[in-house]
Amino acid sequence: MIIDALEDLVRDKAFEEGMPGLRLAFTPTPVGGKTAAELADYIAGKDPVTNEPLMQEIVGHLTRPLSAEERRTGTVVRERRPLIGPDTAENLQRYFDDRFWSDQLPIVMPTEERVAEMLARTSRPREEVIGRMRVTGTREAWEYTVETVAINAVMAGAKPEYFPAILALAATQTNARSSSTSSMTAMAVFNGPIVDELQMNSGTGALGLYNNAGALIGRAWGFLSSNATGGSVPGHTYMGVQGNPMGNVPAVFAENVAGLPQGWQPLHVQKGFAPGDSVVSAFGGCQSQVTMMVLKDENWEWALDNALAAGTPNRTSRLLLIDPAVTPPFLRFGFDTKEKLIDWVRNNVTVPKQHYWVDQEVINYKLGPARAGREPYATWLGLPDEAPIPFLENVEVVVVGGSGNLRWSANECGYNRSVKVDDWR
Amino acid sequence: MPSMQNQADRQPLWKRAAMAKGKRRAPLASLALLLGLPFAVTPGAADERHSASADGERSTVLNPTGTPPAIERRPLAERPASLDGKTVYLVDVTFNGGDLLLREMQEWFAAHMPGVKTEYRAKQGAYFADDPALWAEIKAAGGLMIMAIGH
Repeated sequence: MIIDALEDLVRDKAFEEGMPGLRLAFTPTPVGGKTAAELADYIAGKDPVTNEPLMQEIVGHLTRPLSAEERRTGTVVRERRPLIGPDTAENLQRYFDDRFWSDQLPIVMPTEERVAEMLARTSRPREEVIGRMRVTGTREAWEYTVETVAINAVMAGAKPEYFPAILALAATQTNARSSSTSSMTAMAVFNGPIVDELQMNSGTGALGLYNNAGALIGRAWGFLSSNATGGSVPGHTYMGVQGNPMGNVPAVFAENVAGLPQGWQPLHVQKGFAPGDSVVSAFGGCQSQVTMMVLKDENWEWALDNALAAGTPNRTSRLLLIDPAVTPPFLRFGFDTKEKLIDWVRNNVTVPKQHYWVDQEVINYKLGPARAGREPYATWLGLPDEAPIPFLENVEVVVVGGSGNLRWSANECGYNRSVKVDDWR
Repeated sequence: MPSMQNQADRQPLWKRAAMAKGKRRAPLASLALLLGLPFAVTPGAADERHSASADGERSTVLNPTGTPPAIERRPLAERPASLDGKTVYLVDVTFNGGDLLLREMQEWFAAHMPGVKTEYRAKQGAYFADDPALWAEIKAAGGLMIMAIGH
């Protein structure tokens, strides 16, 4: 039994699980936030999808003998047609737009010739499987190859010389078009010689569309994320309630290593790579960005806590994007390495227990594990009301920005994986 | 007129499957399914709705989508002829008010079908996590299950 707004989603899921005829019943939308009396009306009322009395329908679902279709077993193989057309560019664009294979903006048509030009920039065979993606963690995993990535890179308008970087990003298996109702998106940070090779931006406007490599690698990543899983169809394979403007073209930028203060290592070195390696690091779960000015000696602890505790405490990730101009105060506060700052954030950004367990997203995702005895949630459930809960786990620091003012920001992005670019040449 | 295949790959997965049923009626495909052999549900073909204009240059392009996994069909559980004397487990996945909804359903059964015993259970773990202990409990009791996914 599920709300009617999610009919297509639940039928898709039942189909993926091999039970396309799973017996379903629907309530009006929403259930959350309704009073007991309102929910009693739901129970006594009709299924809004079938218009049948809800409980009689459910009793029928539980007692009606199975049909031959419902007893069926076997393997369903869904084949994909490798070629589209021939047709005009205008009609092909509409064909891609209708299926949400594009971003509804003009694309470069992925002809065999253009895709071959992209594939020539890697030694990897076109049929090699790079990875799998899901629209969310609960949906089926679709597989994509070097060729799939090349097709999407062409569509984005990427230059062939960007292809190894795009392949490395694809190999992180990070979905930049997650179907989470929370409208999350993704970011990627490049380090090492690839930054100069592709002339990527780490300064003014680094997270925006002001750099050719960043913009087109990001657009290719967005296309791949949609299309590796069959296309982001709103209401079906894209469920973001409001969408996220940061996800239209995921931010792809370079760390400003020239602006790193002494003692702060580049991100890829933190992740175990050599300083001379070219590496892309992918972050997922990005939702909103808080921007602040420089921290002051008088109240930096309060200001840092206040900025980073914003939003639902179910979100356990933060990516601190620190402009070189605002690093001196961080050093003054004792953060002479990124790791010390990360530890401080993990231990000192808190929410009172009494508010933690009231948050609906925390209830949805953490209450079950807490009741099942999973730590630290089980312990947090038993704390006194005023007890501070340090809810952040996945915290990273990247130095980026052009120092045009004393600003820095933080996002709810969570680090996922880093991959060497040279492995994909 | 667009073909069934053309319409199908604009649809969500479950509707694509329903629309592909026509193809599966082919005797060989149906037999393959009954025997548990793979068969193809082919998505998409040339889109007649957007047929080429007379003066436009026509080209063929590559499909940008990934490859979906094969699906193993699973039969539904056998049903009893009646719920009299049966235990129905009302399973809450702890998502947005599902517990309150199931409590109301429990009251409905008590008022309208007193011969049915109901047991409310909150599934362990997050809403997407497996709970084999609960499934074993329901099976051992010869019970039935209504799962409520609130939202």
